[in-house]
Amino acid sequence: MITGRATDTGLTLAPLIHEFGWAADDWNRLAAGTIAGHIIECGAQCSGGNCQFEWRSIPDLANVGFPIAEGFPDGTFVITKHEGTGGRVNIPSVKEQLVYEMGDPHEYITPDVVADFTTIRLQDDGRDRVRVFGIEGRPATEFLKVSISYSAGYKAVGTLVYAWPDAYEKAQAADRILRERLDRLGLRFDQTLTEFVGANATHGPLAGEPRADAPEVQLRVGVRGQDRAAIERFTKEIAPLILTGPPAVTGFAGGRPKVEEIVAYWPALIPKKEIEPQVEVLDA
Amino acid sequence: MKVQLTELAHARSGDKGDTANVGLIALRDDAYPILVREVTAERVKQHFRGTCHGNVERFELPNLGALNFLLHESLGGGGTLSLMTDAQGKTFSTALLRMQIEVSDEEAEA
Repeated sequence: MITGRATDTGLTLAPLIHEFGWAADDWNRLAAGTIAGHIIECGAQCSGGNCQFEWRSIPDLANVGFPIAEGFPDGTFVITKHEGTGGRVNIPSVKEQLVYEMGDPHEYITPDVVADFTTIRLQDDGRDRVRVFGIEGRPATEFLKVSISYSAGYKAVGTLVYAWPDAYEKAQAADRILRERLDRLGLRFDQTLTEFVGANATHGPLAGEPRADAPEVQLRVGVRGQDRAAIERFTKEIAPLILTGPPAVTGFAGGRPKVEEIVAYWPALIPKKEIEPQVEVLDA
Repeated sequence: MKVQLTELAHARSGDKGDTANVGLIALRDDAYPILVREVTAERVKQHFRGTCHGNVERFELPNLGALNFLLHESLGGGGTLSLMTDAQGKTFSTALLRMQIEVSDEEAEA
């Protein structure tokens, strides 16, 4: 496959169309090829990687096998992996990948077809093999997607680690001190976010109150704004907290946080009739 | 009686912009109707209060024994704009599995 910017699923669908001669309006088969693409587009994420189902027993992830989709002319396919590789392909591993980054399952929209995830049937086909069949699709829409990038300001994230005892309380105190200093410097940001890694950075309030005897907590503060100088100034306020804030703190070996320019993403639609695809083959 | 969702389901989550999606998959076929009955969009919205600032949509996939939830305005702007550790919503899956749901004694024994 040689292409410019294309859909992830198109990389799997295209060779199936090429091999089997599927028509551009054979919606069920195009949907099947698209869903085969969805299942393997994140590599090992359908063959044992990031798999919650019985994760402890998934063998040899160090040598994980990347997935293979074996296609058939009628649109059915088998998800498998090479013999002698680690990981696991089974119905739960394929289901986890099917629901990954899913929107409305009735309408999985690509430029090629609208695939219906509620028609997918799965069947165990032996060790590390899952047969996928029954897939239906509907006509493609009149639009192509345009992925627009734009400059959206700057950001930086600083971290410090506080140790037992009272690790969480110290990290909270450091956050208050930092914010007061930023305020006194007259710095304004579009957003300031504080997280306490080891306490609530992933599950937020659902994680409950952090343990009072936690061995350590990482303070993680991020800022975002349009003024690069303000973000730069923020990055100089993290290290001083080690000598001028709560005790038993470390984790600054990496130096000042980096200021990053934010290139943000604006997805939009354009009518297909406005676009004329051209392929030019140059002589070597 | 109450059981934690992790006893009945596994899950995977991801992102589309500022929206997190959580796919919730029944561990056994007979658990799917319990998920449909108990894990409503309203309950999920309530579960993620403080994290999900928009509405929650739910879609049913009986063919996979799965539900798909879209949690809008949950990722601090999403993509490169977000300051969150989990800007891609990858851990919303297990956050949902923390939920306690009500099952009958019969369902608990099955």
